[in-house]
Amino acid sequence: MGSSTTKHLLTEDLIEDYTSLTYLNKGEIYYLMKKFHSIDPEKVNSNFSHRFSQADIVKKFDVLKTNPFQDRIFKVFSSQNDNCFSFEDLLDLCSVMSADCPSDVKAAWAFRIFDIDEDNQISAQDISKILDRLTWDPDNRHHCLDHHSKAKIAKIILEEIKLDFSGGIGLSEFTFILSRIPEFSSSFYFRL
Amino acid sequence: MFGYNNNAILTQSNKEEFIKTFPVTMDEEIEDIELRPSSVRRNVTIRNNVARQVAINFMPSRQALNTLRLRRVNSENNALLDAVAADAPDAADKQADIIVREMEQHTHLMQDDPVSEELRREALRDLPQGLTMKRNVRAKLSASVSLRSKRRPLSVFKRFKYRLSFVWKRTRERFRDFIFSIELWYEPIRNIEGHLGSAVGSYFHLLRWLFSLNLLLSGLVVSFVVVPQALHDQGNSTSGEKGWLDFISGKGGFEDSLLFYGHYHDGLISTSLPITYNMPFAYFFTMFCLYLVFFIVLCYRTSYSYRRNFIETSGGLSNVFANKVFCGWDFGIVSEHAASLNAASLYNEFKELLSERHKVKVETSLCMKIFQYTLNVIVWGTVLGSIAAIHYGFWTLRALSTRTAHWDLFVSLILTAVLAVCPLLFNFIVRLEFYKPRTAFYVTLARTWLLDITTLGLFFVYWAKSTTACWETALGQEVYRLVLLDSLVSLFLLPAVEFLRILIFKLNSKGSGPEFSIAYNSLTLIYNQALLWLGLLFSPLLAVAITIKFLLLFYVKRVSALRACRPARKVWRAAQTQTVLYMLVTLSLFTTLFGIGVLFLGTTSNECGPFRQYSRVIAVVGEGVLNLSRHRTLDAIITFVTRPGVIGFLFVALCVSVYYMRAKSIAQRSMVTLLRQMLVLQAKDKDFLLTAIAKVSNGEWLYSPKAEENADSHTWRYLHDVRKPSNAGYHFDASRLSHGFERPDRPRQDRPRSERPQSDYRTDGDTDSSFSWQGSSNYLNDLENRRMI
Repeated sequence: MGSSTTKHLLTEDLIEDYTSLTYLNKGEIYYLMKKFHSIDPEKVNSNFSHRFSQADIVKKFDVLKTNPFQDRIFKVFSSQNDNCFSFEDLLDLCSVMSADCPSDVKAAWAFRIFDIDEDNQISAQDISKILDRLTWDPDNRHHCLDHHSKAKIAKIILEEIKLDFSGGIGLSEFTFILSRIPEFSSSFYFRL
Repeated sequence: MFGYNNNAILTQSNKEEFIKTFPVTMDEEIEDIELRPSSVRRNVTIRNNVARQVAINFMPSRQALNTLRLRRVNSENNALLDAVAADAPDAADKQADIIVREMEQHTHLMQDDPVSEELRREALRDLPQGLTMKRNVRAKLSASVSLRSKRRPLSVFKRFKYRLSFVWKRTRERFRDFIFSIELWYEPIRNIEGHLGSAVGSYFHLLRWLFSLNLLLSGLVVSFVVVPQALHDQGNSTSGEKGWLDFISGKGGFEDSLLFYGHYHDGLISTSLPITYNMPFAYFFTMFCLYLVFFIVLCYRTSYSYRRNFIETSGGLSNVFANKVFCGWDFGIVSEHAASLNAASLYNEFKELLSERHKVKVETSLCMKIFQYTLNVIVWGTVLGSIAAIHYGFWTLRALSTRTAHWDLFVSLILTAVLAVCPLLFNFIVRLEFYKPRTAFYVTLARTWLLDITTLGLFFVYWAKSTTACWETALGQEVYRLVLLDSLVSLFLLPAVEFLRILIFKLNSKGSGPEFSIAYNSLTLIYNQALLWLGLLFSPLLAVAITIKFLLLFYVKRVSALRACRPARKVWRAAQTQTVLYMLVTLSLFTTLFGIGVLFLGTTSNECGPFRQYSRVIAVVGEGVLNLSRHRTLDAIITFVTRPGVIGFLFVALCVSVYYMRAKSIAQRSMVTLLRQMLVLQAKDKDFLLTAIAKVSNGEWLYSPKAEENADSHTWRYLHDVRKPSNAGYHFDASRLSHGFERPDRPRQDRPRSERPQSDYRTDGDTDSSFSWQGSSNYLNDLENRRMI
């Protein structure tokens, strides 16, 4: 199953479009289509831009399963803001996460993912929420930083980063800082 | 509450005065805010923000900056776009319009030619937006472009240029697709990254890279050197006895075979076709080109990696917290076990870092420092001494004339054992010293590499100086033995040890299990590659052997990594280490090239091999190709250029230019810091002015009731305090407003500041400094009023 049907779904023009607008190449797009198609071939065949729910996508793509920012990823990359992914949303996600994507573009998306309360700033609260998510471990419930240390970490980070002395980290500061951390592009990266 | 915070942002000296002046303002503002429903309020502040952003982006200085860096602008637009998205029905369309407007500012993007079309494509790709938005923007952009374009015929030259660039682009893309279609081990590496994190993945990336490099190398060597010789051999085949011990030692029947340098023919190879193949030329130039090309590739790769991981990231953060928070999670992790380990390790690291900060910095006394320093020096001395001792031991072992049956094999066996054990010893010994973990790691790496490369160098020197009949073949055999014996270690022994470790761990589970030692494994790879660089010239088929070995190694390591290793407890950061590993590979090649240049090229190779007919090896170029004995002038020129005086002069010139460049780079670095500071100051200025203007244009001057009062002192303060950039207390930003206003329903005691002592407030006015602008806009109003009067 698969390759002939998926080839039929992806026309030359469409592929051309995708390769020019994303950082993925043809092979990767075919591969993604195959995987996406296999979630439910019927629905994809009848409607190319069918939107699968978060649970369906996660079931197929293991990388998202353990991610502490799973809900944020779905929120940010879903084009209709309904936490569902169409094929193109998935392409967006994979394009950003691919190794070819320059780190400032990655940082711009990472900013949206980390901006948990969606006020265009990463504030102290966002940082403490990120800390909660990072250290949350289903096996070890007591592994949780207390309120005071979270506040302290947030304060240290904000003090160091804020270039324009506003209360939080703005997008341009965030991209500036992250493009200077060598590990960023290797940690904000996966392959589906 | 509000008045309270207002106090916080003022300096103590003029607090009273300020309160006296503006009490009404505050109250009115509060009422104003509380009357409006929250959504309206948010929209207003957002709209202000947007207007401000647009204004900032249209400022001349920004425009200049924009043309240089388009990407950043696009990302700056984000704030603006999100604001639009709030609740308008045709939000997407509006967002697209904003982006298009932004892009239209760049004339080089809006030309109607392929170059700017390509630029447009890249700019679109770099937009941090979804595909739908990108398409929308592209449609609008192309409409706009065709509207602007002045239709004029293209010149032939330009058309040719465009066509060429188009073809080039196409080929590149095809090549990329092709590479992907044959991308080796895509799924296995992904699997490993998912289970053990991307740091272990980087070892496999290095392995794959070296494997493909060697595959290419062996392909070229086989087709240009080995195959012609094999064809030549067809007529007169000499086959000695080939036992399995001979296979390992490379002696007996293998000595005079395609494997080694000595076997290769020194003249023309004639075939049944009327063409001849000059074996010395082929041998020399194939090797020369391969060494040169691979040296360039490695240099390029290393410098690229260095630039990316060391230079471009310099001037970043000194604190590790941001690093851990924003880059701590490895997004590639798949398995749940790895994820929970990652979470636990992050938790522990945060704890450690926090406790480190809490710890009172213990001043290390001078005595202690001297002690640490001397200890480090002593350990270094011991290590270097033991390396030298090992060398001396090998030299005597080699020179020992007791010719027992398999003496050479025995020496190689000892050498392999020593090289396998020493890294472990170094790893242990570094704990005695006082280094930071990262430095300790680099130090161990450097010591091990030093041991490997100097030992190889030692053997090179030994054989080159020895009186053996055909020392080139003997050296080839030496390297061949080392490669074979090392594969015994790395393919069988190490995995066995790893499986033993996991077995012990499973029986007696303490801690989190054995980890995949990236450093040790990478060093094995580098050692093998160094062996290849050295051996390639004297044993061409070694490239094939190493390639096969790496192929096997991949599968063995994959199994042992997935089955016998647990994810690392500490988050191991690979980016910079990767650069160091590349650097070591390059350095190994450099050392080998140096050795070959000194010990081989200038000497005679009369005994065996393809260069028997030449007085010196380098004469292949001089006599064979250029025919120097007939061209007197060329000969004279070359003799002159290679005189020590000329080379010394070139060397000095090189040193001077390096010194000059270094001085220049230091000067530029200080200039950069200066400019950066200036940029920050200017940004603050702009922000201040724009907010003030926005306030005035919003009609908020109405709220300054007693503006005329004390006018002089306010103006004075504006000019001397507010304009002074270091005065952070007066700084304000409308974005903070939105932040503050957004959650008006939140209980006030929630605000973090209300729990802290009062003295803190002035320094980090983050949420409620909304009133600083109120004051400042009044200052501005004063100015305005005065001007009016």
